[in-house]
Amino acid sequence: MLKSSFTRVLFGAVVAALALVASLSADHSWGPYQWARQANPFTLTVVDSTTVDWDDEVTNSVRDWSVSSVLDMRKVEGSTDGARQCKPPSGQIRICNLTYGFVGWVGLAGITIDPNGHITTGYTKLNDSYLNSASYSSWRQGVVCQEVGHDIGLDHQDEDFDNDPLKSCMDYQDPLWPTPNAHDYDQLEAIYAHLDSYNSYVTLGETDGEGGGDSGGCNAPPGKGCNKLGFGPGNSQSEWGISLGRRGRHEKFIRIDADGTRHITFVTWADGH
Amino acid sequence: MIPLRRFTLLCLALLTSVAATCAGPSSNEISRERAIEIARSQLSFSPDTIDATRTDSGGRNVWRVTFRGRLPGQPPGLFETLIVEVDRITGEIIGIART
Repeated sequence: MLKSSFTRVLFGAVVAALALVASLSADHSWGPYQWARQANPFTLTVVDSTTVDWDDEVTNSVRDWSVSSVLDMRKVEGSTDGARQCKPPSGQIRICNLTYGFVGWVGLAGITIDPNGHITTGYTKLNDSYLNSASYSSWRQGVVCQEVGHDIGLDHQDEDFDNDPLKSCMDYQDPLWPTPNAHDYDQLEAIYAHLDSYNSYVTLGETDGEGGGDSGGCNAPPGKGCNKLGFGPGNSQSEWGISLGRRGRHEKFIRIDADGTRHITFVTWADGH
Repeated sequence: MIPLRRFTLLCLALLTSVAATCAGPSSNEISRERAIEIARSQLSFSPDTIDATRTDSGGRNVWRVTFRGRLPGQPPGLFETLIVEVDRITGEIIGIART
């Protein structure tokens, strides 16, 4: 009898330990979807097209996801125009907010993928219809965090609101946890462990006007990823738009698309130019 | 009389144009059922409703398949939503959105 109880306890402990290990190592990548890149860490441009009342939450999430060892995020200001569709520029993530209506979701993340299964754009929509109400005010940070997490290839860690919180924004709880947890960062390292033959992301320059940023990481094959027809920045001055000023050999250009998207190009001129 | 004839011809031309636009799927287009089957590969929850509409996305003709369902303990009024865009010719998934 004693032996039987001991065996039962031991069996239970083993099962619990296995369950714990399983939960800690559970895969929560969003299918096979990931940004293509040739090196880590890579820098994703996040176009902030939200209104000023979202500035803190967007800034916090960009900072939190940049803690990852495999990627950094650089926030650039974008127009709030076209927020209903929230179409992102190629190779970048765009975040918008609007009263999208009581449609059943507080936040929505979307990605487009190229024939190789790599993410070429990502967007996050924040639904003010819910998130401006007192009932969901405590969700705001968690929603931004979770949707941007989707945009970089993460799935939910768990989809049961009733179980114990995992203390991650990728876990469904009421309210959502505001930040990623260690498992999210581990998952990103797993997703981005290998390298690709091209980049599907584009890094724009920094917003502080100091220059020195790279003018684009896109080197996807023609017609794929961020290298689709019509996408800039190109190699001619006419495609960069107007000059915002030159300091020594460094010059900054801006081009604004019809949808309000701003493309900033940093140019380092050759000697004598 | 001539204006009436012209008006009739104009109406016929318009009707023809509208009929062409509203015509059913082209023969090489994947079916609604096939699009839903392809989109289902992205599901992580049990959907209560499934909707598929023909539209265009990024210059491509797609089936936009929308799944909605409820998760355990989800606050009232919220639904888990998954939207999958499937190229109507190739069957390739070109875009996904989720809550």
